[in-house]
Amino acid sequence: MGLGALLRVAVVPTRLVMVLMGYRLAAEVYAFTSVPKYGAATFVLYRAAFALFGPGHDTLVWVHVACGSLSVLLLAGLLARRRPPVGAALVTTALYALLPIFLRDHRSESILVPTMLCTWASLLGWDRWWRLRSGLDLSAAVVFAALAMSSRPEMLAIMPLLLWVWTPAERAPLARGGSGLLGLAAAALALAVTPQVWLVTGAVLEMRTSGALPGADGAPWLLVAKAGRVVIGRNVLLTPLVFPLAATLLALYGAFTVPPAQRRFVRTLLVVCALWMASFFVDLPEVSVPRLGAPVAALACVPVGVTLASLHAQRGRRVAGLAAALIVLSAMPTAFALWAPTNEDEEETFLRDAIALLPPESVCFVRIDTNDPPPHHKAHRYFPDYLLRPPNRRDRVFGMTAWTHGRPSEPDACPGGAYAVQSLQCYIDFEGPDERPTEPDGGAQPHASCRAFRERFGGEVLLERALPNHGDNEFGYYPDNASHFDAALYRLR
Amino acid sequence: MKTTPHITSVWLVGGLLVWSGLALAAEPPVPDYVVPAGQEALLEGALAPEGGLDGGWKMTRASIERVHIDVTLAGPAGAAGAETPTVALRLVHPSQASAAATRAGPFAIEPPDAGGAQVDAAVHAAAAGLQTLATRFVWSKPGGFRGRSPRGPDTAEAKAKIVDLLGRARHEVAAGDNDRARRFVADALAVSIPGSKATPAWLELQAGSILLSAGAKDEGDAALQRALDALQGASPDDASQPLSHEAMRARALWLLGKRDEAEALIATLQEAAADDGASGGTPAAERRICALSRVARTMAVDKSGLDPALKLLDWVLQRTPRCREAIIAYASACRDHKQFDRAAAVIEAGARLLPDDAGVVSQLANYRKFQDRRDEAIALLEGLARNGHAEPGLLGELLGLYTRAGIPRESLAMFRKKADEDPDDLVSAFFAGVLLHYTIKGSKELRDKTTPPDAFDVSNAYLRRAEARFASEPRLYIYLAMNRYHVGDLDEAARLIEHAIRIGPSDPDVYYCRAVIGMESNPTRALRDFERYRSLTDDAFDKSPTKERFVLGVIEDLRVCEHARDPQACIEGRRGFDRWGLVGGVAAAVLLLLGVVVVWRRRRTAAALVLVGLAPLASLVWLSVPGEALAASDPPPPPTAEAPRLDPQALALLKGADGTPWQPPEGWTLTRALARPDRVVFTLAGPDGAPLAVQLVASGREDRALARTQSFDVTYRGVMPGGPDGGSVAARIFADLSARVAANDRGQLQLTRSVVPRVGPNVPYTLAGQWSWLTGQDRVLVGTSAGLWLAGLFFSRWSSPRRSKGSVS
Repeated sequence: MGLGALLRVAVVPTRLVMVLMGYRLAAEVYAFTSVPKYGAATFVLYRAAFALFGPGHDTLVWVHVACGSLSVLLLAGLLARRRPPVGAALVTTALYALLPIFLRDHRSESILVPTMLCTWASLLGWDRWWRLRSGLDLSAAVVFAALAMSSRPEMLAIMPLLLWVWTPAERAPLARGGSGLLGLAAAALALAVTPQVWLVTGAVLEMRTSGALPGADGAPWLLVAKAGRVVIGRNVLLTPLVFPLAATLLALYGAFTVPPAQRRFVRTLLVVCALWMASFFVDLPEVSVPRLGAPVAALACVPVGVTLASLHAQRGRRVAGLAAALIVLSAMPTAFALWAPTNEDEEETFLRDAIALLPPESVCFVRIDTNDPPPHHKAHRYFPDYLLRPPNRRDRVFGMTAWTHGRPSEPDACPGGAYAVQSLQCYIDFEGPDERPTEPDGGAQPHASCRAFRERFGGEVLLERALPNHGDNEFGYYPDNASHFDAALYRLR
Repeated sequence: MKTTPHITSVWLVGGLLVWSGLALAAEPPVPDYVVPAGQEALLEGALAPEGGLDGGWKMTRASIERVHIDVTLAGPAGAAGAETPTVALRLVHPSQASAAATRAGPFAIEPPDAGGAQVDAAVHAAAAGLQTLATRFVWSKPGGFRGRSPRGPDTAEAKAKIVDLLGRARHEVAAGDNDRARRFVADALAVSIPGSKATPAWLELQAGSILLSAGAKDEGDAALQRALDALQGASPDDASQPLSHEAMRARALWLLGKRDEAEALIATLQEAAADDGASGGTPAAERRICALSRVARTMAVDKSGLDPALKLLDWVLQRTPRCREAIIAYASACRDHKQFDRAAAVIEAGARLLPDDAGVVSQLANYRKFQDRRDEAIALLEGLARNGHAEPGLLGELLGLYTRAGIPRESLAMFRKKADEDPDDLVSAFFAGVLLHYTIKGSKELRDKTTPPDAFDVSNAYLRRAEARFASEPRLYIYLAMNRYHVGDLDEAARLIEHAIRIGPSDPDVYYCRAVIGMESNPTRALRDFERYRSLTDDAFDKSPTKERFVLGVIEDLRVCEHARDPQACIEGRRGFDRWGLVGGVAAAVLLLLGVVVVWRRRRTAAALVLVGLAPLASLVWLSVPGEALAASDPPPPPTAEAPRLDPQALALLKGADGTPWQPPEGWTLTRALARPDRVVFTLAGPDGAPLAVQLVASGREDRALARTQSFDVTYRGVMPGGPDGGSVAARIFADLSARVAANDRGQLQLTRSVVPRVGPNVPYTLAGQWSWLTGQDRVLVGTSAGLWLAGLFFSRWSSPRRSKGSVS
C-alpha cells in the first residue's frame, strides 16, 4: 500500500486521459454554473478542491491521487474482513496498488476515481454493519453509496448490485427490527439519489432528442446486442494491453476451482464485472476503455486475489508463484501501452510552457474556440482558460473571431500585451480523413482560420514547437500522414 | 427601358392604390369579375420572372385596374440602333373577352388594335407566363347576388368588409370564443351598404349559420328567418349566377331544421340543374351543378346531415367530376365527422383529375397523413410548393409533417445547397430557413456548442429571401418571429408574430407562438392564446403529444399565476413544486413512517438514519419551492402602477465600492430587481414609461450577450436608441449597470465568445458564494451532494468497532 501510494505521488507521470475533455471538466467546475450530466457528487468535491488548492486540472489529478491511495487502503480493509482464503486480500490489494491501469487512472483526471473511493467506503460500511450491526456503519454505507451513485449514471444500477453481492454469506440472521432498519436505509438511499435520477433522466432524454446518444437508440434486442458487443469486444478484462490477460484467465479459472464457500462470490463478481462493462454500451470509444474499465478491473482483482490464494492453498506455493509471475509478466506490456505518448500529452505540455512564457501582467490571449471556423462538430475543442483567470492569472481570453471583430480598443485593455496560441486544436478535425494535405516538411496543415489569423495578426514568435504526431484516435481527429503539428505562441500585432 | 422587379412592384402597388382610390371615390357599375386584392406578387411572379418571359420579353409596366390588368412588355433588343419593341396588352376575365383575345390561364389577353408579329410574340410570351397561374389566380365576384337580390351589397368594399368580419367570426367559433364570434357577426350585420335599405339575404344566411355554430340559437334562427323573408318574392334566378336564391332558401331551411322542405327544394334544384346539363353541359350549367356543393356543406354541419350531404355531393360529382368545391366539401365533411376513409375514393379521383389544384391535392395529402403515410403526404405538398403554390396553410401543413415525421438529416443540407446555388430557388430558401430554425432550436447541444451565434440570423436570411414568394404564408413570419425570439429580440418577434396573425388568423401556431413570445410580458393574453391554440387544434388528428402536454401544463400554470405579482416567478415556483412536491411528499411519508417504526425499537440508530434521510429532503424542499410560488395565491393587483419589487440579493450586485446603492438617472425608476434561480433581472421605467430590462444569466448561456462578467452574460430588452453603445440614457444605464455587476461579481469581465466588448475595464472581484447562480435543479443536486460529502466526512472519523450484535467475527 505504501509503495502504491509512493508510486502515485512521486513516480508515475500525470496523464490526461479524457482526450481534452478534462479541460472542459475543470472549466465546468471553475464556472460552477451548471451540474455536468454525469452527476453532482464529484462536481462538488472538485469545487471544494478548487477552493482549497486553486482551480486547474492538475488539482483534479492530485485529488485523484489522494482518492486512489485511500481506495487501496479501503479495499485492503474491506477484503481483510472477509474470511479465508488467506492472502486473497494481500494479492488483491497488491494488484490494485501496483497494476499500471490503476496507477495511471489514479494519476489522471478520470472522474471515476472518487466514485470508486465512495464505492469501497460504502461496501466497507455495509460489510461492517452486517458483522457489527452498528447504525453508524449502515448510515455510512448509505451516504457513500449515495455519493457513488451521484457521481456516475451507471452507478445507479451498479451500486445496489455491489451491495447485494457484498452482503456477507456468513451473516447472522437479522435481529428484531433489523428489517425495518434496512428498509429505512433503502428509503434514505432512494431519497438521496432521487436528484441524480432526475438529472440522469433529463440528460438522457435531452441527449437522445439531440442525437448525441446514438448508442441508446434501437430496439431492445439491438441494445442487448450492443451491450454484448461491448462485453466481448471492448471489455477491459479482455484487452491485454490494458489489463493483464493472465489475471483475467486466473479469475475465470477461479470461478470453477475456488472452494465452494467462495465460488458463488467469485462467480457473482465476474457477472457484475460483465454487467458493469455492458452498462457502457451507449458510448464506449476505444480510447475510453482503460478509463471507464478501471473500476471494473478493480472489482475483477478480487476474484483474482481469491483465486490466487486458493491456488496457493490447493496447489502450493510454486504454482501460485508461477501464476503470480504470469500476471506480472502480462502486466508489463500494459505499462508501455498505457503510457504511450499521445497528441493530447504534447498539447498539454506545450500549453503549460506557453502560458509560463506570458508576462506577469494581465494579457489578452487568443486561441481557437468553439465559435471559430471550422465548425468543431463533436470534436473536443476545449482550452484550459481557467489557467489564465483568477486566481491563476488575470488575463482576458478571446476566440479568434471575437478578436478579429471586437478586440478591445481601450489603451490599457491588455497591459501585458496581446498573444495568441496556435496549438493542436488548430489541427483537430472530427472524423476527418486519414490522409490530409501536409506542409512541405511533412507537418499537418492547420485550419484555414488559424492560418489566416496568424497571417493577419501574427507578430514575434515566443515559442515554436513541432508536436510529434503520435497517431489518430477513434474520433478521427488527426491525419495519419502528417509527421507533426506546428504549434506556436506569438505576439499579436 | 430596363425594369427591375422592385420597380415593377411599385407599379403594381401603385396600380392597386389607384384602383382602391377609384373604387372609394365613385360607385361604378358593378362588374361580374374584378381583380382581387393581394395578387401583386402572384402576377409579378408570372409576368416578371427572373430571366424574363419566353422569347426575351420582359414586363416593363403593369397597372391593376379594377376589372382588368394593363401590362406593357418590352421585346428583345434588335439590331444595333434599332428601337426595342414594346407591346401593351390588357388582361381580362375570359367572359369579358373579345373574339380577338387569347385565352391564357385564368385570363384572356386582349391585344392592341394594331396587330403584327411583335404583338403575336408578346401575346405568346405573356400567355406562357400566365399559364402558370391556372389554378392560383381566382377572379373575385364583387357583385355576388347583385341583380338577383333587392338588398345585395352595392359596393365591393362593403362586401369585402362583411366577408372579412364573417371570416373572423367563423375563426372565433373554431377557436371556441363564441362571444367574440357573435360580436363579429353583429359588426358584419351593422356594415352600412350604400343604396341598400335592409340587410341582404346572403348576409343574414351566413350570419345565421355562424350564430348557430356559436350556440346562439335564437339569434341564429332569427337571422335565418330574416334571410328567408328577404328571399321571399325575389326576382327569378339569374342563370349565369352560380348559386340561386332557391339554393340559399334550401340552406336556410336546412339550418332552421325544416329539413323536409329543404330536401324538396334541393330535389327541385337537382332536377333543374340536371336539365341544364342534359341540354348541353355548358360551363354555366356545370357551374350551377357544382354550386350545389355549398348546400351540401351546409347540410354536413351536423352529423345527421352527413349522409344526405354526401349523397348530394356524389350526385354533383357524377355530373361534374372536376368540381373542386365538391371534392373539397366531400373530404372536409368526412374529416370533420371523423369518417375520413369514406372520402378516399373521391379524393383520389379528384387528385387525379386536378393534379395542379392545391386545394384538392392538399386534401389528398391530408388523407395520406391520416393513413400515416407521411412520406407520401410530404411528397405531394412538396410538389405543390415546388410548383409555386404558396397558399396560406399549405406550407404549414408541410412543415407540420416535417416536424412530426422527423426532419431527415440530409434535408437541411440539401435545401441549403440548392438555395445557395440558385438565388431564384425560393422554395429551397424557405425550407432551408425553416429547417435551420428547427435544427438549432431542437438541439440544445447544437445550439450551445456548435452553432455560431448568428445561426438564427442565417435562418432569417433564408426566410427573408423567401418572402418574395411566400409573403402570404403566415408560417414564414412565425419562423422569422421565433428566430428573433430565440436571440432575445422580443420587440421584433412580437411585431412579426402580429403580422403572422394578420395574414393567417386560422393557423393555430400563430397563437401558440404569440403566447410563447409574450408569456412573460403579457401572461393574460398568453393564456388566451394558448387556450385558442387548444381550441383550434382540438379536432386535429396529428397533434404532437409533447406540445399538447406542454400547452396543457402552461395553461394550468397561467390560470393560477395570471394575476400573481410576478407571473413568471410564480410559474417557475409551481413547476418546481409540481416536480418535487409529489416525490418529496411520498418519500417523506415513507421515511417518517419507517422512522416511527424504527424509533420505537432502536432509538439511536434510527435517529441517525432518519437524520441522514431527512437532511437531503429538507434541502430538497427548501431549494425547490421558491418564495414566488406563494405569489400564486396573491389577489389580482389593483389597477394602479405596480409597486417596485427589489430583492436585496439582486440589489447587492449593484452596490458601489463604498456600499452605497445604485441610483438610476433622473427620471428613471428601478422597478424590479429580481434574483431568480436562473437569472437576475433589473427592470427600469423611463420618463416616458418605456421599460428597459437588463438581464443577467449564468455565464456561457447567452450567445448574444453584450457584456460578460465572471458569472454572468449580460443582455438587455427594451428600447435603446442607437444600441448599447449609442450614447442614449438607456445605453448609459446599461453600461453603468454592467460595470456595477462586474465590480460586484467574482470575476473580471471576460469576453470569451464573439462578443464585442462594450463595457468598461476589468475589475477584480470579491463576492463569495457564486453557486447561487445555479438553476433550481442544479441547486438541489449540489445541495444534496454537499450534504452527503459532509456526512461522509463525519463518517470517515469512525473506525473502530463499537459493539457487536450478533457478529460472527
